[in-house]
Amino acid sequence: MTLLVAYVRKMNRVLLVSLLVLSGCEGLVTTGPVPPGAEDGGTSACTPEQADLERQAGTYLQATCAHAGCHFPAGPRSPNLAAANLNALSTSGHVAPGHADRSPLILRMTTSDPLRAMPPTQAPAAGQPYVNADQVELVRRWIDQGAKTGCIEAPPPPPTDVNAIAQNTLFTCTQPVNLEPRYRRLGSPEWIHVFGGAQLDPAMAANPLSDSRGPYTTFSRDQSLDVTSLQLYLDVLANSRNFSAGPLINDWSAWYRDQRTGMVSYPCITDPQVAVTGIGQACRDQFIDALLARVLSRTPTPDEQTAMRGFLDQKLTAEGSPGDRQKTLRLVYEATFVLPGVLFQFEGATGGAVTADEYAQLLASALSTHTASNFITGYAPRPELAWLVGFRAAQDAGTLDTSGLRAQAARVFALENGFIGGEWPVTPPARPDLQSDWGNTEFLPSFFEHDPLRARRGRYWLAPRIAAFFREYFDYAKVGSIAKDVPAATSAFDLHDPTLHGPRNNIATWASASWRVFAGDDPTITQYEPYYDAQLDDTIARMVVTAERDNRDVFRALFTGTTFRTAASVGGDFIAGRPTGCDVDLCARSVVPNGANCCVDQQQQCVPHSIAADGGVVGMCATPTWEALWLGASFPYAGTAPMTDLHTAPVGADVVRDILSDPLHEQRWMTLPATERSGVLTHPAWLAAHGANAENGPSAVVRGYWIREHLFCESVAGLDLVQLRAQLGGDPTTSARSRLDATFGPAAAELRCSNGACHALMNPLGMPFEIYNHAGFVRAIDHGAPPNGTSTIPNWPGRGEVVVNDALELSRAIGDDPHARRCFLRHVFRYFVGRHETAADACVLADMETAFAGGSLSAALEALYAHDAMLMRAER
Amino acid sequence: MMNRRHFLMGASVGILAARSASAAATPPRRFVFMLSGNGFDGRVLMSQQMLQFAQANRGGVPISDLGRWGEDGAVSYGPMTAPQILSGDLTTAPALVNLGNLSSKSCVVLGLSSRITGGSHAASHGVLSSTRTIAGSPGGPTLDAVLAALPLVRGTGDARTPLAAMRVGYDPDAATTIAYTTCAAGAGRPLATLNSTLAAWTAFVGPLASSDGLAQLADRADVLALARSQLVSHVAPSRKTGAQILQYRTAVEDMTQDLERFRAVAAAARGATLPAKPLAGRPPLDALRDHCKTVSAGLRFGVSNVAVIGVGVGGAFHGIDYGAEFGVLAGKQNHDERHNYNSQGNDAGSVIVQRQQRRAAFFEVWRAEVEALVSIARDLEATPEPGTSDSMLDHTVLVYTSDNGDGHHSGASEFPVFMMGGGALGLRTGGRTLVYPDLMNGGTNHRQLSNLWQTLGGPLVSQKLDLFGAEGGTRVAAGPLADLYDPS
Repeated sequence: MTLLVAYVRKMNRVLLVSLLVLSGCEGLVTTGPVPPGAEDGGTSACTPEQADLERQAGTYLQATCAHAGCHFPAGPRSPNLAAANLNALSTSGHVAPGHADRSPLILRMTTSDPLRAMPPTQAPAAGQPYVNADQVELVRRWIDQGAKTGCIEAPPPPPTDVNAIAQNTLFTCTQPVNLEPRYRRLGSPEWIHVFGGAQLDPAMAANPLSDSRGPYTTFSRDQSLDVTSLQLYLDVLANSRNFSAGPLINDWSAWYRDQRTGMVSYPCITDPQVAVTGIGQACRDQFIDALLARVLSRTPTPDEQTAMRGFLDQKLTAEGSPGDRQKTLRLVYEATFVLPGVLFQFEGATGGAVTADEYAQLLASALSTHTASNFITGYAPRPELAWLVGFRAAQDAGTLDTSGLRAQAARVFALENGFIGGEWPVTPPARPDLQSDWGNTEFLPSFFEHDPLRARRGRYWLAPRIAAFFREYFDYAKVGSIAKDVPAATSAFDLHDPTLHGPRNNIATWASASWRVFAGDDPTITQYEPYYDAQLDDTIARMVVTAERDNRDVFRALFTGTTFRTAASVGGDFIAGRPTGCDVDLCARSVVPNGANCCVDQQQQCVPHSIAADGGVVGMCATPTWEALWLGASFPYAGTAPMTDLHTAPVGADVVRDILSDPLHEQRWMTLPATERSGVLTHPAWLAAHGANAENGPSAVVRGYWIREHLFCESVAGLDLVQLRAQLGGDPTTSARSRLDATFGPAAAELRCSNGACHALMNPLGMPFEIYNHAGFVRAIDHGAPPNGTSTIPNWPGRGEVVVNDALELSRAIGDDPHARRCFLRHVFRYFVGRHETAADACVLADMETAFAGGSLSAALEALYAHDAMLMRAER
Repeated sequence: MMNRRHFLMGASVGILAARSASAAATPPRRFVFMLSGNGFDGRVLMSQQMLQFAQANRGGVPISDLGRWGEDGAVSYGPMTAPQILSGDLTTAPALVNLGNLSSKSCVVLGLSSRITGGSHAASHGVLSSTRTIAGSPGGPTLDAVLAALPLVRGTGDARTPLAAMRVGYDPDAATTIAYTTCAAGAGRPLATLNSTLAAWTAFVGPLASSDGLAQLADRADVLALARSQLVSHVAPSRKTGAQILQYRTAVEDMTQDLERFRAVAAAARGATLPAKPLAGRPPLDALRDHCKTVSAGLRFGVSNVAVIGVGVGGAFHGIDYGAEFGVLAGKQNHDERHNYNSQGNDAGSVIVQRQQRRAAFFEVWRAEVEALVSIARDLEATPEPGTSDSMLDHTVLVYTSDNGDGHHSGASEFPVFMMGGGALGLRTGGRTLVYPDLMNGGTNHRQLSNLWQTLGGPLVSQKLDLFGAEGGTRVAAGPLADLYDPS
């Protein structure tokens, strides 16, 4: 613990009493007399005041200016204002030592010109400067005192912004550098699966291992445990004794107790009738060896064996009665999970080459959220881990040298082998890759039959870890929890103008209520149709798998694909006996249900069902609960919603077979018009996840931000350092485009926000998406005008100014863009390696790019995992 | 002098048993910080007398219902050359209406800025450290960590609390139970917050609440010994992996060190009435109330003397849906509602009505937050401090403030503060409202949040704390707030 201990002498503060007179030409300073004390450029001894000023000015400049995307080390904005770099600043020409009045830095901090004021702040009251007077005075005094540096030990530089590294540098291999030895901390799902729990169990999900300090969950891999997370970890271990994980297959003792047959292994110790004194040494050794092999997914070290064996002896000795045997074994089981070898998976632990055991874990982590140990005797492995059978056989045969490991990687990442993805056949099992825990559905029909939702998913699949990458990269999993006012607003489904029918109309209410799907609120909801995020999961899987299979470019497919997985629309006769045929419009107008046009049952309301051939809306009566929720999942498209999937008995194993044999299953794949959708960025899940709450809110900013960071790998200054009101101005009754122009356009008052570090980077990239509303619906009209997606993008990396007509054109342009392609690969690296790339990784990235030249993501991943840098480790 | 003494069944026995060894020693000093995520409107803490003073000081112009403090000068307390100390009825403030007899042990502090923290969405660690968090990395230690490290606060020997601090929070969007956005041990060293009411209860109350919980602690000693044996002998292949092992080992050793104290505290609490295990998935204010029950028990039974409670702090406010308890906010996303809190120049008709309704609902939210903190104060007030004639409240300072100034996208120009207790530590409350010259008008008389932290971390704990935070040259005046404490 350190406190700021330096005394600050009482200062005489001089208030800024008037604006400075700006010089006519604000260039860099090159000449001028230097006051005494500043002649030597800061190399003479410092006075205490100068040291103090250096510390304070450095603190201020670093905190306020040296930030990702702005005045950062190696950042795109000049000058570099990091505190660790004040010496460079003082000789950069932006500072005239001894002459604050002539220093461009001070001039920018005191100007009343909104285009030039730094740092960007909102408009102050009349007569007030843009920057706090105290802060200006601080920097002014530092400069006037000679802009001295070297008086104090320079603070450590702030973290380097990965996006500040020139992209060409990252893909130019000059000097191969191996990755470092690594202790890869287990992620939450891996840990839960190793332990034997279920991810849906809140007690297990409370573990601290999902904490990640980076942009992806995999960035948690370089973390450890502190005292609080350790406490939480131990509490979760202890609490897990008291939960039911669902099917017995997920019980912690399943590794030695076969739930299907009742057979119990290692009866010499597991049988409570065997007295402690009767448990022989060989039995104890065997039990511990098997336990460690199961948990570690590798050969245990002698040290680990000795330690756990000692713990077992200790607990058996303390056992009160034979009835406590299960408790004893349970304690021993829990104790293994504090071993560093369990919490961390090693990569190059012995220095040099990665071992076969380590590589098995590494490849498993590339494909699965399970570890390489998730085998239970008698059960088949998970589909994305089925390669482990051959791997272990080769390992046992001693053929896994470095070339042998590369051959395994080639085998794993070859699509035709069915480990990284593919297409499941029509007959059951349906989407076994989605099954969370152990086992094969053939053995657990009781488990499967409660999940007909999976039967309604598309048959294309990607290995869970690869699917998770796309979820995190495109960041759409949050779509179900984002509130949307009137999701259908401005679309063909926005049938009721609130001003005509009152401030609250039923469709708006239902549409808003329908937006949020909380799994668990009503289990019947999630059992019928997958929601937007799952629909996009399936859509991406199809894009990737078909592109790989057909030797097409995966990257281009992601931004041009038009075949989307949709949900079936609700049927009025979904549950037998419900009346149908109400008039949506008349029912909304009529306060009293009149039977003919509205619903007899006053618990029901008339909701949109589907679009008739004449374009009219067919209504049905439904309770505004789960039906409305289901509705929300089927209406974002301008075209007719797919046919209804009717089952009057939504329980039982028969429903699964019915669904899978239902030809309507394939009708959920809809190829949408190329004038309506093109790729992931035009999918409702992405659009809504990166959309505002209101139809005319700043969706363009949010979408443009994502594209700038994730497809151009350029950082936008974080909002956490910006003291702005940041509210969209303009007339709130007008379109988003109009409001954005009013707020950020040439005539706007908040011009500082439009500067090159902020909205100029985002808004032009987001405007093309104004052909959709905030919820991803295609706009039919936009506040009295045709939807307008035109945009001039002034700062497209490598291309300069680019003009597009709409999001469709933008998306296709991205699919063909080499800079975006490289940025995508960088994110692939970040996610699968679990850290930011550095210049030292250039050879790996270059090889990934070469492999990706033909458009195969699997080839790029193989290039990563089979790379020399991955197989041989050395400390950097 | 306590007006109401209701002893939790068996509580007094448990507490006395736990603390009897230290009865002759210095009584503990406790600190509880509750931070309201994304800020709150300081008007909820303004009594009628405060509003009258401000109106008079502003030349007859009342503080309007809307508008923000700070950089745009829309709202200020008017010209002031010295702090104004008002002694009106605090219960006339919207968030303090149910304060009751605790009003006399409470105070409100207004006019403190903390521009170093940056404002915007959240100050993160900056609020409690008076530094700037950059890219998630704290700029310095937070006050709770500073206090928790003091022997005078944590206690020594048999009075040492098993845990340095209880840090809890609420984040509806988090995929993880643990967060590192609010507290810090030092620059670049964030400290964890438990965002799950169940996890917090398990950690802080579970061992006290049942024989199973106590037995788990016993088992834990052996498990920690096993871990330690492996970590001590572990040879890591690189500096980075070595650092991971070292952090884990340090955690094991820290936990081992205080395990016996935890077992003693848990044993002493046997038979006491403790809060029940909370249910998961409760609405945010119910989760906050659950957290407060847990923290209250932890304070009273000596688990820790320091607590930080956050609601949507560190940027975790976005997806909060306050639920049916708060009317028009139900089903809405907090972030978007915050954007709509303040008026726009062209508001008209139904929009004005909606804003008024929204404002009223948020006032209720903040009142509920304050009352959740007050519930801890009531428990402490009803519990005697062993070895003294005081209540535990007299030896505990509770603070309610914002993690983001005065609201969404704030300029960090105004951090309204509500405090309770601490009378025996020298904190002067007495139902007062202390108004410091604000940022726009105060000049050299303006004071900052760091001055308040210097008060709590200085004279109230008998420490000489010359400065706190990293404001450097932007610090207006050194030293604690003299009007807040009794120097004797």
